[in-house]
Amino acid sequence: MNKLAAWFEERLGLSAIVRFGTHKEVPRSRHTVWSYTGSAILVFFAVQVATGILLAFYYRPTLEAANASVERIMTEITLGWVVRSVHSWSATFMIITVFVHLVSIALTKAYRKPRELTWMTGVFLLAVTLFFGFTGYLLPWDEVSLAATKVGTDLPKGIPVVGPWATRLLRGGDDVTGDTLSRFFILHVSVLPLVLLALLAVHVYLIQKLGMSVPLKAELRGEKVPSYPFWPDFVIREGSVWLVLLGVLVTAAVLFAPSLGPPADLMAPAPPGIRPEWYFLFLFQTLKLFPATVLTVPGETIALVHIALGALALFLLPFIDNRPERGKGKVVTAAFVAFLAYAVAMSVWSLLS
Amino acid sequence: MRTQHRRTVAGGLALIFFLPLLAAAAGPGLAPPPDPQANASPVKPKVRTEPLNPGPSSIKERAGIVVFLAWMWLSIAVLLYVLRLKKREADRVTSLHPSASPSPSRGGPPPSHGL
Repeated sequence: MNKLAAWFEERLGLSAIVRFGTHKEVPRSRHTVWSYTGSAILVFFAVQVATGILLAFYYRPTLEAANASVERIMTEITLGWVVRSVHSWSATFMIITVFVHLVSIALTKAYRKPRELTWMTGVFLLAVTLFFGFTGYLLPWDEVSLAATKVGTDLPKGIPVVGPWATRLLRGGDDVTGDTLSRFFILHVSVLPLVLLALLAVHVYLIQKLGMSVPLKAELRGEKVPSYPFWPDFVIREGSVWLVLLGVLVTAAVLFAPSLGPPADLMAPAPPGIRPEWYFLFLFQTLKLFPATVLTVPGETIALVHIALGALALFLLPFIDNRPERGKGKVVTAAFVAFLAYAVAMSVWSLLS
Repeated sequence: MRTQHRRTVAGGLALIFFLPLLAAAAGPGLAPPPDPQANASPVKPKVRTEPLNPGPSSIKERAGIVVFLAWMWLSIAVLLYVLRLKKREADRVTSLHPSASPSPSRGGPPPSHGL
């Protein structure tokens, strides 16, 4: 056994990784618990990849076969419904952990100098994750997913100049058809994973290079923050969190498996009560609140401009909040909390209406 | 030596608890015997009009699910206990050999660790 380990060590030099993990320090503070959300995202992504590969063995991305192939996965393939349910629930859990991770970084102001690029790649990762959800929603090709995708892909039309072109690019034509389905499938299983992996590599590299941030107050006072080694102390703690999260994921997937609607009919009218996935609800409700026109400008265009400005502000947050210790930093925190409250309120309103 | 023994025990425990899951995943469950007709034409002529709700249909299957969840959470509890022991041991070793562990983090921009 030792000889085998030595053989691999001589060729791969894996002990360097262990040495790196032992020497890497993790600040130990009351904020440390939030750093577990970062690795939890990776765990859920790994589950997504594994279950996605299994589903892709049987899924057919064509107009005629998409819904039937998902039905076959759920009814004929052994444990197929569990695999599909775990895939669906891990997507939800991944998006929740991405949101929690982003909010924790924003509220602890861990994006401050020199970690601006880490934050910006993180916001890109959030966008890619949401696009994953959007493209995956259409794949079962049922009534609700078709109608929701029609609404979703219609939104960019409101953007001046490039809007109609963006909608055509997303749909692969003027309307949602079989071309949209195959386009979304390729984006979901090929393009987006590659983009996500590339962004993830940059994000993780930046975290390794810059280290984890210490609390702002401790940094301002120049205080020493206790730390422990990444390996094994921190990894063992993370492992415990992963176990519990995986347990919750499997429990939710087994007890609350998502259903499959009737096959989509391109000629049928949209069914009542169309809603996007929960993470787009606040945008959906915001769009509904805007009037049809405001001073001859379409309300949808105004809403989209506001949403784009909000996304830009989120992306550039480290530069907007460049003095986090001053009064400006408190104003930014208050604005961020107000935005969170708005998003939650809008989502609840949309659910109840 | 003792640590090595503990590792072996922990590894054995993990293997025992996860063996049924591994067997289920690696066995024929996810790859049923090929059915040429099913593979050739997964499209069914009938059009379903009602939502399809997955999950166990019989009481026996439902009971199986409950047993599986109970077994899984029991395994997780055991593994959490093992990890708790490992965490204590790691913390003890770190506190005994402060020179081996990295220096405490200081405020200000962190040092560049590189990869």
